[in-house]
Amino acid sequence: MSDLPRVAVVEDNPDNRLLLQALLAGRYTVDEYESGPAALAGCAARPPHAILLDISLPGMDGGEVLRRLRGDDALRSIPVIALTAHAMAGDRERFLGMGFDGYVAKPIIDETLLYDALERMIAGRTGNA
Amino acid sequence: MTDPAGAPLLDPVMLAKLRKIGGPALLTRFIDTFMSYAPARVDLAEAAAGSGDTATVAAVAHGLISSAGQLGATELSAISREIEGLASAGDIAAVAARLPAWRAAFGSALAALDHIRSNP
Repeated sequence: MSDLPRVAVVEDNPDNRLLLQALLAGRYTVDEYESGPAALAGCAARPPHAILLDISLPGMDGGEVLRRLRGDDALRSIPVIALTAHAMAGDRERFLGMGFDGYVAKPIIDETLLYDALERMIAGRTGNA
Repeated sequence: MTDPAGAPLLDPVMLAKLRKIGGPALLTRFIDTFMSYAPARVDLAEAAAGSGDTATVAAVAHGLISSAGQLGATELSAISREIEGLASAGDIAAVAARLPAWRAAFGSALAALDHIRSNP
């Protein structure tokens, strides 16, 4: 068993999943999910320390996935970072207002923003902040 | 490869980023993955535009914003963002007017990616 923190990546685009796996490997144990329902089932079975959640998923979108996570006693405290190509003025505030804990824009131009967000939230959740 | 004005078709900074993260192997895999699904998605969007299905057009365009941008295909990414906005607003006439430019940018990006793929 790895001692690395577990991060769930919920992303329908296969190339974006490939990139995130490459970015996170060695730092985190990564669980990949292609859809909202798959992520909800997987996170219930193996709760991650943080979730990177694409907004524009087909079918159940990221906003609905977040709502269901927050409605589940076992999952509601997991930090959820919005991962989105919605990167216009006001989008960050809109997603934080929806209840996301953080926001990372795609394409990922500066990966340190992703690392910083994850480390901050995982440390905060485990009391090491 | 360059455009007619001599500018590179793919942003070398973004290509270098992928190489830095995972070496030439990651760049090649990213290109292969993109090429494995993106052409069918653009075909789907064109067909959807023909039938007035702006939701499908917007969804396809949205997906291309980040993937094309990550590969340094900045023109394709920018036109995809524009198309998504027009489709989300339900302006099917404006979408139709921009489809040729979208298709051209996509074709140019694919050709440039194929070139990079042979020498990652």
